[in-house]
Amino acid sequence: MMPKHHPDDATLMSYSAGSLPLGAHLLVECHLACCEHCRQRVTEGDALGGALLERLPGAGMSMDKQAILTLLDQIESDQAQAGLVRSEKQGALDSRWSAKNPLPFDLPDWAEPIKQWFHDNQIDADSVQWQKVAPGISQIKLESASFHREKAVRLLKIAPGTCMPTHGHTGGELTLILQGSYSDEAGRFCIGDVADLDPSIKHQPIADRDQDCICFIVTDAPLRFEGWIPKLMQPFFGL
Amino acid sequence: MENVQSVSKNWNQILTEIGKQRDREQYFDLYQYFAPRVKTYLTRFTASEAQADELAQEALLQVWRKAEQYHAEKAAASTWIFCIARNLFIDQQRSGRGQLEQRTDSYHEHEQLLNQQTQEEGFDQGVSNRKLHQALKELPLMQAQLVYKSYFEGKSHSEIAGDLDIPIGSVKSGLRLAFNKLRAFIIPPHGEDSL
Repeated sequence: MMPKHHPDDATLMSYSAGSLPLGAHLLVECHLACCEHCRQRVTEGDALGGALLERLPGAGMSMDKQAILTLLDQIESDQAQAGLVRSEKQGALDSRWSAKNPLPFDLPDWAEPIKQWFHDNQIDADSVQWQKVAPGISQIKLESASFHREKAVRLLKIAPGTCMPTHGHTGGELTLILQGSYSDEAGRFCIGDVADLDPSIKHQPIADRDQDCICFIVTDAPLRFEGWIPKLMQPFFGL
Repeated sequence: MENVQSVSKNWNQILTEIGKQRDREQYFDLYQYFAPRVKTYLTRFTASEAQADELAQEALLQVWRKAEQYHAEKAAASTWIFCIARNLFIDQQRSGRGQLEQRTDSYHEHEQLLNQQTQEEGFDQGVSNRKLHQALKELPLMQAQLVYKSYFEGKSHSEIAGDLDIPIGSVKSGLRLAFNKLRAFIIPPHGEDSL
């Protein structure tokens, strides 16, 4: 699979910088797992981070040389002891990753970080359900205090052929396709693709007719719908 | 050229050797160069100097633990260490332990520091990719500020837009322009010595 639509270079750069809010960070992490093109960009962003790090003036460290060398000795002896149980631990880690998918749909392999998020937040299948927000549209909200820099982090399921109301954005919006596809003014977005929208862009996505379209959507600031009927929908979207 | 090479340490090589030989003295050299910088980097994201110190300490100890996994052909030592520090800080945020300080605009204060250092120490001789550093210095003020705010203030596009009172679209296009200029100087680390 080769995604055709990618996050903006500025978004990938912020990912490298570690400055994306955590919902967007999670979304980009998934896309990277399926996109060689963007992994390359992030490698470049990381290199920039390394160069910038070297440009920083230093701040005095509290520990002296002796204290550090003692710590190193400590680590070495700990690691020697841990060597025996390490293989066991690795097994536990692997099983963590193959933990049951709590979501009511199949996640692609590269979207593991989303599954991991539910796991880390101890949210199991019983408490994860699609919530109707409008005809043909339902959502699962990902709620966490660590998403406080974002307006909404959620999964959206759009029934085949459903037409979303035309809307612009007051902040940025990132959309990652997990299943199915949709089309809007910018083209057709398929599994693995990312739509990285500026506030200046208005669009009207329509889910393609063959199956449900499931997206992971991170919204930076309230969406701005046009026309009075869509405005009425705003409270339902919880945006 | 010989002379410059002998002044600047080849951290990529040193880190590779640390991974193989577990030499504490070599590690301490690397620690002395990187730990204070990592601390400055993390100071921007932590609530107190003590927390930054602790986190920088943790990052550098991870460098010791993971040194065997370092591959000089994949990334410069500075890049590898930067990623460790950044991931540590993201993990902190995720677990809710980290406290992201919403700092006010510290670019100008910091810029001065950066320039001072550059002049005082013949700074560029010590860094691993001089052309990239030169390109960074030559960025237009606005782009430099956007890069700075992304990497060192940890701010998102909309947060930067709010700080500078410009549209988000301008933040993104400015970052894109800067990235495209700088990318040209980001070369595989094993190629750096020949510059």
